[in-house]
Amino acid sequence: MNCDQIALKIDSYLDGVLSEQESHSLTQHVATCSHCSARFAALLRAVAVLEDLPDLPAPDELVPDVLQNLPAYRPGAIFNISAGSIARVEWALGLSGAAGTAAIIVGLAWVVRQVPAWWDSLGAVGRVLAGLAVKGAVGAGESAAIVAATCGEPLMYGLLIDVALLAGLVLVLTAWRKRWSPKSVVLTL
Amino acid sequence: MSESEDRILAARVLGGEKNAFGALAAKHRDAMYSFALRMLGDREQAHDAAQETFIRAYTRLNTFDQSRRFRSWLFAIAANICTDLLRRRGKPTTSLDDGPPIGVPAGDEASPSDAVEKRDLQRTVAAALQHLGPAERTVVILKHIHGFTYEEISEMTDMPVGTAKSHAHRARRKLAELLQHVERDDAR
Repeated sequence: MNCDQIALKIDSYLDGVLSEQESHSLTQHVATCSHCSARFAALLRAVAVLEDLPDLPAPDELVPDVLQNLPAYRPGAIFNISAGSIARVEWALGLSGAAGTAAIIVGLAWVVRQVPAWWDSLGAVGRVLAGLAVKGAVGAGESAAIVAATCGEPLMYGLLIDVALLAGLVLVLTAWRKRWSPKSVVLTL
Repeated sequence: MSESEDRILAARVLGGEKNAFGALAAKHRDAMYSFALRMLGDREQAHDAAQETFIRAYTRLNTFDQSRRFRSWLFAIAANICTDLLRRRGKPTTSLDDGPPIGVPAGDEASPSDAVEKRDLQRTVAAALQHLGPAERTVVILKHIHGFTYEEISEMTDMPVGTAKSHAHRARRKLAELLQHVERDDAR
């Protein structure tokens, strides 16, 4: 065997797949060839050093950092998607829910406003309660959708948006009532 | 802890016990960190890569094939993350003489001379790993430091067994040549 063939045999030897007979011919060649002997020794030493390298201790904060950064949803949930996708779904659901809520409440308020008798008979407290009732129905659907998709953490954002919408609605209704006289509206219903 | 205990912990995590994942991470943290550090040569990046490995494992735990070893699955994720980082990074940023030793255990100042020599060798080889290509580095670390077979490495890295062998052979030769070079320099 020449030195190039021996180089291949050395690879197989280090992989532990060389037969006994081939190992014997390898050692015979290496014993008589200084070039292959030096190469063989260096390879053996490199592998020995690699195999002797121990595991290094990880920083103490690694596991706490991992646990702190685990996503809120469970692995294996119905929508097992990435954290980025989860955030996008949450915001899409939250914003579309909020937009839907706003549209329904403003629409109802507009209808009530068109009927002076309804508007006048609705006291301030009644108007807030009516708003809450509509909001509650829509918000419950919105919340259920978010919980189903993500196991719930972002509900806080939805609630904050809802509270802001409700406060805005009360302000708009109050300002609206002060500026427009109910008598100027033609009853068309 | 055995492989079957890994599976039990994984099943508990899937059942909703988030804390069981802490036990899994604690068991494998040193291996993941060591692998990432030897792949990346940077402690901060190694920490981030190990953390990303565990988080990705958690989010994909329901895809873990119970017929495989959990450890292999975890290493496959880590190898993927580290290889991506290396490809994005491009050329190596450290030389054999740069900074404190990376990827070797901390030494005892009062060590006898053979231990010092051994540590120097370990330091040389660990630094030399940074000069291998991503695939060569991945295969040689998985094979000779973490003890995986070529078949396991092939499955973990999606490369044919023959390719994994070629990478390992080439990496070993490069490391051996480097050792010979260093020894020649020391002898002068």
